[in-house]
Amino acid sequence: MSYASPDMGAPSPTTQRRFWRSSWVRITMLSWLALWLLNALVVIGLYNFTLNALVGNIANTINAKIDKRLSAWPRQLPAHAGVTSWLYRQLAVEIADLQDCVALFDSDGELQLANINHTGQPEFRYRDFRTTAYNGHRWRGSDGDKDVSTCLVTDRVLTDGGRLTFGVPFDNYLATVRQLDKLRFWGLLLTATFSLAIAYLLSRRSLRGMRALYEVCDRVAAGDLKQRIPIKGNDDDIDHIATAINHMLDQIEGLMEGVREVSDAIAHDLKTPLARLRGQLELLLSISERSDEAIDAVIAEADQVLSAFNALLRIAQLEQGTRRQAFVHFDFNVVLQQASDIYELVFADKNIRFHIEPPAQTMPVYGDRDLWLQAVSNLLDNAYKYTPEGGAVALGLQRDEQFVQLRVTDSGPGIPRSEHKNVFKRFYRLDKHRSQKGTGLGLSLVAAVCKVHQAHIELDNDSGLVVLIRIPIDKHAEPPEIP
Amino acid sequence: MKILVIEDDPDMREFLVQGLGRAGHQVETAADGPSGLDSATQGNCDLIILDRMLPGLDGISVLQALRGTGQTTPVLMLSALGDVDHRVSGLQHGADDYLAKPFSFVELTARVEALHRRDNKPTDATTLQLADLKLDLIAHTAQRDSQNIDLWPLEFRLLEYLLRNAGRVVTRNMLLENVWNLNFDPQTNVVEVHMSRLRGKIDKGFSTRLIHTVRGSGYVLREP
Repeated sequence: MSYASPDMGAPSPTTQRRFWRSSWVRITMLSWLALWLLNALVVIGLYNFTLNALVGNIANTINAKIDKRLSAWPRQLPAHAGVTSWLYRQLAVEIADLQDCVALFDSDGELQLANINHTGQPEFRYRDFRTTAYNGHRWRGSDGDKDVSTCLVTDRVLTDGGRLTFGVPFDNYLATVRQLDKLRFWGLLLTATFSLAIAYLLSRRSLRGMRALYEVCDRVAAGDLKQRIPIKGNDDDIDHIATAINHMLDQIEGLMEGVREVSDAIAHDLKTPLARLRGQLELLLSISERSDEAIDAVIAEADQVLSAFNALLRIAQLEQGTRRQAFVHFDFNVVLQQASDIYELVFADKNIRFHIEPPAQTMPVYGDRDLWLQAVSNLLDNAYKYTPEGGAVALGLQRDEQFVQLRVTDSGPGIPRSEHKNVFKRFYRLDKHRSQKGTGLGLSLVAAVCKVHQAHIELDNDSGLVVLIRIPIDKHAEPPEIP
Repeated sequence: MKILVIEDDPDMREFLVQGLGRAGHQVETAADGPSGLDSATQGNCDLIILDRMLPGLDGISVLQALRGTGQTTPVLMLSALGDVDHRVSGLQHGADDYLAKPFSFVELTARVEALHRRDNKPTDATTLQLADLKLDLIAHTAQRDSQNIDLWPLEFRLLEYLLRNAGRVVTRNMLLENVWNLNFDPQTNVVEVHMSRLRGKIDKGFSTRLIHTVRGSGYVLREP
């Protein structure tokens, strides 16, 4: 079976969905971005902690050294008068042998003396400390290589406006600090790349699952109802959705199959009487004298087609499930009483014993009374048709905790077990009954009525046909309605 | 009687005009809802035949508007929607009868007659009588020529309906709807069986037959 439409090969909109438009991808990416940010926080935190531990001490030492040197300044001198020149005099003497790194500026910013390169970009900064190159002589080795090449210094503004840049050799630490910097850089970069890659792969994976869904849906939309989504078997969301969609597709395919069967049946079972009708009309044309009998036969034929149409429409309407608004709480015995009004004499007329078990208790049911009467009528109608004269038909009701059980039995030929499933199909008729009057829709309608009421119907053979219908009992039965 | 036909399909309208005219009625027509409502509210017709699906204003709305003005002219609603639900909703909105298309003309005229009669003569009599046949609605007894006739409850209801429509054709469908309260046609010969039994009780042994079969359409209870 194929419902292929002409545009089946054309790419459909859903398969061309953009990667980033997928909410799965966005969610995966966002959560991985959040994780990476958290990770970056940890890396930076560790870096800062280590740096503090390492450089913090040296910074304290530098500050202490500066404090100590400045505290030696004789306080009796006026504050503005020459702390810079005082320092200059001291340092000028010391500088050749000074173990510390120093640069001194006067209040105009003029360099007074230095053993460091006070310009140039520092390689490393820590709080208000920075590295700078050492160019003094104290640490110069015999071969001219400097043992000290880098200092960590800080600036101190002096009371007379001068500025002291002071620090200590830093080479031993600089290597470690460089390592730390490297660690931070690569740590952030690697985790970023790695998490991005994982997020991308995971997204791709979930997207692949989703894409399988889109693709199957597209193919179904294009008309191929046989398509099913492969179940990967890892019991994840996608598998669940896929299972649900597959189930839905099974149902739809079943319905379509039903529609196809019905249209085939209509083609066959309604065309035949229409063809007969046409033939009869042509025949009428050819007789010169008007024959009321012939016209009656034509009308009867038309009525037959109409009643099949009505039954079909009714079944279709039932299957749409629009009838529930007519549901009421009622006692099923009422339906039996009405059925008895219709059929008692009809059966008597054919010399069939018709027995209705007298109601022993109420049979509360929630549903459409008219529909049930029609269903019971259809069953009795069949019983009437197939039970020979002198036979018996019985109608009974029983109830238990869950169900009201309706039982219709006749003493006709019954239905072969192999046919039990088929007789509920529309227009289905046992071959030997094809010649009988009828639409072949009676049991289909009964089945549709059962479905609307979530009732279960089954057939059995005893001395004739037994039809059993189990209707869910009305648990919220209001005081039984008395008609 | 004067009948207003509100029907948009020209063929159907013509069919109704011809048929009702031949049955001796005066027929006025309207082709859509608003003009139909106009003619209906003039109030000078005895019966309205109203199609359910109409351009402009659908049948149910016309009916509601008409009943809103206090008009009680009997309305027979016609519809291609023959389903029980539609029938029930039509009747709920104030239609007096509802007939699904397609229908036989005999069916239509029988219903028109029955509606007209009901409108003319709302009977609250306690006995119904035709010739020497008497039905006591209180005591639930039937007599013919002063002999008691034993009737089943359903046969009683059937005879009562026939007597109320004495002299008029009643169709099989009218009997199913009014005596059995059925909204569908059980495919059995339920009406035929009951009528033949009733006939056996009412007419058998008497010189004049009261129940007559109208070929192909229904029955009529009348003096010969």
